[in-house]
Amino acid sequence: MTGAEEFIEFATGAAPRLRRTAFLLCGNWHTAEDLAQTTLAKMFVSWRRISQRDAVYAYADRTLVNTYLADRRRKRAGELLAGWLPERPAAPQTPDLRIVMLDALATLPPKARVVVVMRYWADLSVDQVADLLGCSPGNVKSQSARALDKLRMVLGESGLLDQPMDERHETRSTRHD
Amino acid sequence: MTKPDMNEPYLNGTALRAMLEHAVAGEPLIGPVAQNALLAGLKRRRRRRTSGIVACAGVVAVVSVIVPTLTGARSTTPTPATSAGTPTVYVTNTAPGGPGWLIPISTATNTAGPRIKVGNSDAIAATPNGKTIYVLDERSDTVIPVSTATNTAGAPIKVADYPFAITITPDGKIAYVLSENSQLTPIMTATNTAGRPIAINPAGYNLAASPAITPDGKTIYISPSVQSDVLVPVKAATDTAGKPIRLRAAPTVIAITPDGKTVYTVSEPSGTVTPIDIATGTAGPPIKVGQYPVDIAITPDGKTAYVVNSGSNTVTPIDIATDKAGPPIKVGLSPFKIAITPDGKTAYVINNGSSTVTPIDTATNTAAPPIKLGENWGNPSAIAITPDGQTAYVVCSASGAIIPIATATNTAGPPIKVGGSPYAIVITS
Repeated sequence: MTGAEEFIEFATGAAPRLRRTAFLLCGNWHTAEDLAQTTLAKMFVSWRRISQRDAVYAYADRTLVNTYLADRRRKRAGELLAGWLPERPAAPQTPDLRIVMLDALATLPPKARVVVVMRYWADLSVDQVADLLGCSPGNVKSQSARALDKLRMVLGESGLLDQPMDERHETRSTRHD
Repeated sequence: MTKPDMNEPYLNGTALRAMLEHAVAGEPLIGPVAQNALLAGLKRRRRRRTSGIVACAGVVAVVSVIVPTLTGARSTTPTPATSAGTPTVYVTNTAPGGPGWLIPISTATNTAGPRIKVGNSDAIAATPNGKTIYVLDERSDTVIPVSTATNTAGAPIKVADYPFAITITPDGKIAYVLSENSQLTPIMTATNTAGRPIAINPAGYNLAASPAITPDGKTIYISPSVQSDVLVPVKAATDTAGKPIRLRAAPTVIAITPDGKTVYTVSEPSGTVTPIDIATGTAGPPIKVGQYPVDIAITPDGKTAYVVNSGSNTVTPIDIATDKAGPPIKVGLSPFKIAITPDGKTAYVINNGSSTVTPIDTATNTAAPPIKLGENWGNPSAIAITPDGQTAYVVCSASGAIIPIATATNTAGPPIKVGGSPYAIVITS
C-alpha cells in the first residue's frame, strides 16, 4: 500500500470521529467540517513522518484541538464571538437537549471546552488531556471540575437536569434572588 | 468525587457523556460522495498551498505545548501595606444555579459571612488598604467594586471586552484590567471610573499571566500572547504600550523583584525562567527549571525566587544575585501555586494532585512533611497568607471548602465549607 492509499484509508476511518469531536468543540457542522478537513490536510503533508508513529489517532486529536484553539484565538482577537455561537433552528418550542447542550458548551472558554469534550466524550484520561494541552494533570482536573460546575449551572437553569426530580426546581429557583 | 448537594442539579461524567453523545446525533449525513469530495479537497489544497501547510504543521507541533495554564495566576494578591483591624478572607465562588459570589470569611472566627452577589469570574484583587475588592465579570465585561466596610457591591464598571486579569498599583490608585481583546483598561480606584483602554501589541491574550507592576508603579508588564515570545512594558505615566522586549520563550507568568530591578518571566512550555533587567529592558539567558513551571514567588528580601514545576513535581529555587537555579526541591503531585510568609521564612506549595500542602524552609531549601488537607477536601487551587503570617488559607475548588493552616504548627484546621466552586482568594488587612 502506498503512503497516499494508506492515508486515504486512515482519513476515511478517522474523518467521522474528527468531525464529531470538532462539532462539540465549535458548535456548528459547517465549521466542524472545516476543522476536520484542516486537521487531515495538516496530517497529509507530514503523513510519512506521522505514519511511523503508533498513536496516529492521538496525533489527529492533538492536531484538531490545536487547530480549534488557534482558530478560536484568532477569532477572539478580532472580537467575533457571535460567529461562534451554535447554529440552531429558529425559536425551538420545547427545550431540546441537543440545543441546550450546545448552548451550555458555548458558555465555556475554549480550553475548558477542549477538556470537557476530550475527557468526557473522546474518553481521554486526565494525563492524556494534559499532554494534549501541554499543561499539568492537576490543571486538567481543576478545569474539568470548574467546567462541570458551569455546565451544571447552565443546564440547571434550562430545567433539563430537573426532569427526573421535579421537586428540586423550587429549591433552586429561590436561590436566584 | 464528592457527594453532590441534593439541592443542586446533578451532572456527573457519565451523564455528561450521554448528553454530548446526544448533541452530535444531529450530524448531517455524509455519504461516500461527500467523503471523496473531502479527500479530493485535501489533494487540491495540498497542491495549492503545500509550503504554507508545511509551515503551518511545524507551528502546530509547537503550539501543542504552548497552551497556557488557564486556571493559574489569574488573580493577584497585593501585600497589604498596613495591618489595621481583623483581616478578612474573600473567596470567589461560582455556585450552581446562581451568578458568581464573593464570600467573606472572618479570620478571627474562620466562619463565612453572607455571600455578596458579583460577576462570574475567577479574577479578583484587593486594594493595598483593603477597602475595596475588585471582581471581574467576564460575562458582562465589567468590574464590580465591593466595599469591604459594608460587604456590598457597587455599580459595575465597564471595561474592554472579555476581561480576565486584574492587578492594582502598589499605591492603590489604579487597577489595571487586562482583556482578551488585547486592551488594558485603567480604573481610578478613587472614583471607580474607567479610563481609555490601552491597546497592547502584538494582539492576542495569555490567560495564565496577570500583569505585573513595578514597586514604583511606573511600569506594567504584560505577556501579550502565548504565541509571541515577547513581554510588553506599559508606561503608567503616559498610558501607552512600549516596545516589546524580545525573549526566547513565551512568558506565561510574570514576577518582579521587591527592589524593582528585575522582571522574571516563567515560560511554561519551555520550562525556563528569563530574567529581564528593568533599567535596560534587556533579557538575560533563560534559566532552565523543571517541566511545566506554573507559578513563581519571590522572597520579601528579594534574594530567592521559587518556581513551581507542575510537571516534575518539584520547586526550583533561583538565586537572584547570580540567576543560578539550585537543586530542585521535591514536593507533592501536580504542584500548582506557591505563597511565601511575610517574614520570608516559609514557602507553602499547594499540590493539586496529591491534595496536600508542602512547607519549604527558605533558609535551608528543604521541604517539611506535606500537610494533608483531609479525605474529601482535595484539589487545592489557590493559597493566601494573612498579613501577620499566622494562617495560610487554601482554597479547595473541587470540594467547595477553604482550609486554614496554622503556620506555627503546620496543621490544617477544620474546613470552612462554602459549597459551589470557590476559586480565587484575597486577604485584606
